[in-house]
Amino acid sequence: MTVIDDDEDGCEEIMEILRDFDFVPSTVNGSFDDRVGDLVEAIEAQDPNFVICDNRLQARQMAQFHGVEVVKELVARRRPAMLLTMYGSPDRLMLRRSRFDVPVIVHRDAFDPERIGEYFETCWREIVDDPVDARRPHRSLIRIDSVTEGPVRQIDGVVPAWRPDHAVPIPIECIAEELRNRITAGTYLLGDVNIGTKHEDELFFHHVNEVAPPPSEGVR
Amino acid sequence: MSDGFRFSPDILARLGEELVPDADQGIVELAKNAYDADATNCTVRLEAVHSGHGSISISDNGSGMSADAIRGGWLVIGRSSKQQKPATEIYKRVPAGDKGLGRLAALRLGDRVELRTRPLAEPGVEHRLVIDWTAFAAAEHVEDVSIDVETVDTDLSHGTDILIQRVSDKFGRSAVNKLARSLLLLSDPFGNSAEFSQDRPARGPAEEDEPPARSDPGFSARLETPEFSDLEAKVNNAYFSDAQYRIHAEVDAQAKVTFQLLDWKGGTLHEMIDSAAYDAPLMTFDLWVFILDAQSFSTRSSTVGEVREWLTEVGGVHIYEDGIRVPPYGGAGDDWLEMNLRRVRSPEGRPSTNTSIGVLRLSNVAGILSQKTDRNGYIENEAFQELRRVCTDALEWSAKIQIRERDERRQAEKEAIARSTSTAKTKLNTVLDRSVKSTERRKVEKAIDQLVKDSGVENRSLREELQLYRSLATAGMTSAVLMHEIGRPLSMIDKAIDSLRRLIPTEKHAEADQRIARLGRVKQRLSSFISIPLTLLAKRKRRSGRVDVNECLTELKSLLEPVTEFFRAEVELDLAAGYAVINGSAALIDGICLNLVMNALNAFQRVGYSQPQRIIRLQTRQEGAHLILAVEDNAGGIDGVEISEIWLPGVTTSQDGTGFGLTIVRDSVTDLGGVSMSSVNPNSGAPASPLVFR
Repeated sequence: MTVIDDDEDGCEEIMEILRDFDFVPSTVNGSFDDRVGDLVEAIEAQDPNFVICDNRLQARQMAQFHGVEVVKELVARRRPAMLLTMYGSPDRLMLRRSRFDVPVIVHRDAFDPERIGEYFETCWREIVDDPVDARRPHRSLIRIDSVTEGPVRQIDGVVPAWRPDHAVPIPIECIAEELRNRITAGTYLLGDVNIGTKHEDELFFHHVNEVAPPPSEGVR
Repeated sequence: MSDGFRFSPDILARLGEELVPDADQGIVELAKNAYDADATNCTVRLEAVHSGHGSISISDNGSGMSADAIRGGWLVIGRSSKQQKPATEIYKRVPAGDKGLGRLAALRLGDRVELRTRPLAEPGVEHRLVIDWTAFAAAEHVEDVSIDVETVDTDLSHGTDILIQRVSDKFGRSAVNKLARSLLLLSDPFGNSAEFSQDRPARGPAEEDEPPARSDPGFSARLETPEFSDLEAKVNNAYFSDAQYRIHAEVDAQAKVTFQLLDWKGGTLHEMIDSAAYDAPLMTFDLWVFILDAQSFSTRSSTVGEVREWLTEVGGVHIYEDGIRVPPYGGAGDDWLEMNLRRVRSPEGRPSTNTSIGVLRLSNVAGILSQKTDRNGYIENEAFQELRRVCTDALEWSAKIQIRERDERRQAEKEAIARSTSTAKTKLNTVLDRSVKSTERRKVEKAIDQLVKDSGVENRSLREELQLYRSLATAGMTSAVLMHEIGRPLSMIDKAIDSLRRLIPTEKHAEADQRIARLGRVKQRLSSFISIPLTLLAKRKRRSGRVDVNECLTELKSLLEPVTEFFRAEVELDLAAGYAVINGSAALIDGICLNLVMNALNAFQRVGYSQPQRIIRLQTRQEGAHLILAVEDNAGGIDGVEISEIWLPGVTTSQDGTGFGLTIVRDSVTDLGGVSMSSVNPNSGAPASPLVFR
């Protein structure tokens, strides 16, 4: 099992917890600048069964990218991996952007070594294209609730099939480029959403590439 | 026959009135001589001085002079004995007078001078002399005119009287006014106030054999001038009647306290009887509070400058025990009630030693207060602490009332503005109906609407800015509260670790200690981070005055070390070797630098930006009359926003940024009287923010 964290104490803490549960953890040291590939290769060289990676790697100059990029790449290479994060408010939107490609994201405080098996299974099932219910995409209707212009365009949307009364921020990058300038409050879109999840932080928006006609009265 | 210097009588005019042209200063010099003679009272009387042939008398109840002292000191001109003179014999005062040319100038105000002095050491004896300046004028040399010291019996008490007759200079109102001010500054403020005179121990002939008390009962200079009775009143009442309000507290025999807020005439504005028992001696506390601005003094006879100068000399809270002043309370630099500190913490409604004068009169017959052996203040026993508590409670009670009234005033002002706006609107419509043709009415209305619209835009922008600062203040206060709360559980962690370690079997200690050490390091880091906002919020930092920018930057660098170390950034100080002091507060300098440093730390962590050596440079340098403060980093400059817009509120390049940081920098620089600029060096990619202070 390989643990990636730029903060030495944070890394050691996770490794110790793993040792307490009879895992054999290792880590990767060094400075990787913007070379995601190099860090992924360094991890692959250790051939771990599972990788636990922290999201913020810039503070102590381990890398100029986020851990989410590393996990995405590992999963793409069929290497089970999970992401740890402190879930600061700016992280939420950034992580949702990549949520479809990252099967397991856990808040650092909620990390539970007893659930490693569960984390691994969630990850592995996605790799073999049999996602768990909470990660299964469903073609869903998305109602745009508000669009706030500014340096960063903020879009809030409601997925009636998930929660009809709850708006969530949707990263603009999750919406097909040809639709981005056509959406206003009240626009209905179609996209793949994992409506089986219970937690807002686990929602992903994928293939949001169709404008839907407004639903009939009964659906609203 | 031996030869030597001889002096023409003209030399007396050179040394006297020509060297000291202000008549009032000469008279003050004589009053200072009275102070130096351990007098408690000195009366300056001006009789018909505006007529050109009046008289001036200066009488005191000091220790007088012997015949030898007159010959060897008083009659010797031009020898200043102030520097060699030790503290005065009885009250150990620091000599104020300079027995030199000022006295000569005063004595030459008239044609004839009579001196009568009764030494304390020679009861029943008076030495007299007369100086006739006309005799000097007629003589060829000064040495040709002899002055005889005559000794006679007397039943008067010790002291000195100087009578200057046939005063040739016309004393005008402004000269008397200057004299009145000078005497005021010389006087113990409570010594000649009618309000306090009953407490002063009277000294008469019967007491002359008793040695006087070693505690200084103070010095009172009175002015008697029938022609200018208002100026006479000024000295005798000091400036107490110019106070905005007065705080009064009284402890009665049942240890109950009455707090009162009185107006300048002594009328009660507010009163509270505090049933909480104070274990304090019988006492009354009075504090006269002045609002030192031109508006407050527009309707008064005194000027702000006069009162400010008086308060500089006498401001503070003085203690009188059974009529005798207890030093050092209320003396220069003494702020035993910490009024200045309270004012800094919360300026509204709180006086400082520079804006108020107070007296605490107490009776210590029961002896529950003890003075220190060096007679310099009380031993701070429980009774003294209680006495102080009465005074500070009175100050707090008054401050609450002031703040409440201010809020009520503001509320009333808001309502009044709303009412007057509505009235103005109605009036405007009426005027338009009468004066403007119906065909032109739309044009005029349109122009007025535009004006109102523009004013509205300005108001909205001001309101937004106000909201921004309210948000910041709330965030700051919340973080301060939370930081205090976090500090407590943090300190519990150490104890918890120790107790957990005791539960660990000895053979596991080595393994456990590694984890404990890491926990200790993490806790240490957290403690350091927490200390930063708490230090920044320290009240002393908000105190305005002279600020050494270099000192601020050095302190800030060391304060931020745990943070910059964590982010592996190096803070370099490059400080001007010379004078780097500006007017302002440390909080403003901190606000400027901290925001720029935090921006740099955020910029270093941008995705896709590589900077193996993170450097932040805090620099001060002199450029002519300007002090330049430059905060530079190598974090790649600003992108994603126009440089001209970076100072605007709400503009941010970071998703979780508030957009407040650089706005605070801009406003802080403005508050410090500086000009802020920003430039980006495209080659090094380093944004520089030179801030110039005039």
